[in-house]
Amino acid sequence: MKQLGFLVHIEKCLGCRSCEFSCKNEHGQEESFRRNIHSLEDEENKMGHSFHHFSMACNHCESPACMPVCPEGAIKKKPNGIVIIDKAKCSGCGKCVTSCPFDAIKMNPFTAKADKCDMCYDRQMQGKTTICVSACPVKALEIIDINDPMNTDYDKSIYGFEMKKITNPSIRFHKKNDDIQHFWCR
Amino acid sequence: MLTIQELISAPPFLYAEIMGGWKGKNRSFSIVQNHSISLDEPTLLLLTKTQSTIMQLPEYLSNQDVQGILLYGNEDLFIPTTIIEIADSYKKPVLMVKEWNPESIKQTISDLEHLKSIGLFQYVWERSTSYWLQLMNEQSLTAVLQRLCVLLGQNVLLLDEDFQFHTGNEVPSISNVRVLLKSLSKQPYKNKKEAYTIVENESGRYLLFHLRSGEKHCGFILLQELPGMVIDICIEQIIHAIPAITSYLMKEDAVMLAHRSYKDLFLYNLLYNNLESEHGLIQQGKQWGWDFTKPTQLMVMRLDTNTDFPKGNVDLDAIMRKIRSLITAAFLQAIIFPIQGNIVIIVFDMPDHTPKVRKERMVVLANRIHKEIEHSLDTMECQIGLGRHYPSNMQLFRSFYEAKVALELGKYESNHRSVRHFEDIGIARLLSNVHNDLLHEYYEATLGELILLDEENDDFYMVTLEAFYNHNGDINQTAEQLYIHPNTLRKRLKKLETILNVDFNQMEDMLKIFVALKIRKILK
Repeated sequence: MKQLGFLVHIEKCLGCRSCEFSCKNEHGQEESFRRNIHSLEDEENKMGHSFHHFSMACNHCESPACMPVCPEGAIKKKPNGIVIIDKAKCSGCGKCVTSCPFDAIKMNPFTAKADKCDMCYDRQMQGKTTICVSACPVKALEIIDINDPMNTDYDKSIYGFEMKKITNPSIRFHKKNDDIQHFWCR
Repeated sequence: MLTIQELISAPPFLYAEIMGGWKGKNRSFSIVQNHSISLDEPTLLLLTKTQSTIMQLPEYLSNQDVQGILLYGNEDLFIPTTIIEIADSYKKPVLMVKEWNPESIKQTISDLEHLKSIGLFQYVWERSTSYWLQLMNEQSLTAVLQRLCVLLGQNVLLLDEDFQFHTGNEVPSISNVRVLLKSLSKQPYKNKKEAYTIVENESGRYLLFHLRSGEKHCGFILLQELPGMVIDICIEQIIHAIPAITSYLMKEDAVMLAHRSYKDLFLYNLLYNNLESEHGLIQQGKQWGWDFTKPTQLMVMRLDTNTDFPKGNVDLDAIMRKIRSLITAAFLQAIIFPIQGNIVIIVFDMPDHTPKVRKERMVVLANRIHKEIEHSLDTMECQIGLGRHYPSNMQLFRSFYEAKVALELGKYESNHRSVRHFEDIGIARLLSNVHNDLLHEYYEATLGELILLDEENDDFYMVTLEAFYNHNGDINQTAEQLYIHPNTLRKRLKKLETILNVDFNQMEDMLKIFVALKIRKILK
């Protein structure tokens, strides 16, 4: 079975927040973001002078913690590995919000229902890629099938960022040591 | 001169029904006549299919120049068993065709004789392939095998790639064949490129035909080599039937593959809450013979390679077969399948058990499975996690998650058990849903000072604390493990109480440290 997941190229991400805003425009979330940019200190330079950024949303875990806690059974995992919330079934109890170890689920203040990244399921059904991937100016985000043997070399975690492993998050990190991009601002 | 066996390998006689006397298939004839008056050469007698003809058959068969009888016509007539027995005793074949024009039959036979005389009879055989394909499409594999058995006058065995009997076969009870198959399975016959191979054992010589489509090997046909078989047309008959059998097996393989992929998808949907209704679940389950009206219990088994042994290939199918046999021995039915590197076992239980009884029964069953699997696999460690039972089988996705949590978090228990139920993993169940940041914060606030002291002064306070909790607060056992006097331990515990600002006589303080130690294990 497929398991789609995000591949984050750590060295490429600028922290420009294009992914956040494109997602917000696409899904019309006024108050909250489905996707967030995190910043980390550099592994080698721990003095805080250099930072890495990476973009994170729902990790579409292999064993999603949100799924069994939903009393309505509104959360399901599709055969391609995408975890989605059935809006028609969601009662807005908020149990999934507290159970997610990655803070990926938020309550939508307008609908009073749970909301999270669905990996642009509708766009993917039309054969398009996710809006965040298409909006990234430096191609720091990618969608991959993590069960594909070609994708086994990527890292499951990143230095300095505590991640809950019990749910088997479907996110992979790629840290390329050579070919670092540098940007200067006037 | 044509033999009757050659005649029946050519259309339209391929469709002929063999009524009896087939042991005389090698009888040859030079002329075809539709009366029995003044015969002086080996003759195939052509007779119209009527009741009076049938009654006269014994008389015709007794004539020494009659080599066989071909009955023609569209009538459906019953031939008494006694007449068939007479044909068998004379070893003179009696055939029946639907053709009604005797002149056209005579002409066809004369054409066949002519083709044989000029050495072009193989073109006739080549046309027989379409007959076998037609028979396969119109009837089934069993019909093709039965027809082959009749034509060859012996049992034709269809075997799969692993030399097991195919389901289309009538499985013989001869032990010699089974012994032969066992010895064949040990030899690399799959790579042979020849049409057939001769194999021998004590019971005789056998011909092993290879069923192959391109590079794909589909199976074998096995039959005993009878005297004269290699020089007559038996081999040709089988070789021309093989494309039909191979195409059937390939089609069967493709159907199996599609069926299996739908089954995998159904099971995935069941475990990940993708099914819409309970009715749909019950209906779909029926396709594979699963009764989802019964209560179920879900288990997840994980196999870890033992560190003492080098990594090797694990035969998951053999393990699943073993599990199935153990569950069947407990008079239960189960679905067993691999997913995400684990083996999932869904056991259908009796509906009249209370939840407590059901849990106990399933834990006992899981323990038995664990014991047997670990016993049979020296190089592997096996662990089983059980989820809770839910009233509806639509909730199996919850049970699946719980079983995985039990499997994952159970390893942080102080008393290590290989079979763990979600209800029994205690406080780790709550900790599984708390963010790592919060866990880290709690652990740092509770034990941070102690760890710092240990690092600075090279002390053993953390080791002492862990040993004390692992022995449930027993001073003597803890002291024995640490190789110190109980009074020394008491002194250390007093010091620990001061550093941690707790009282080990207070349950609340004990629990606070216990949780911090558990978090330490989880975060590690």
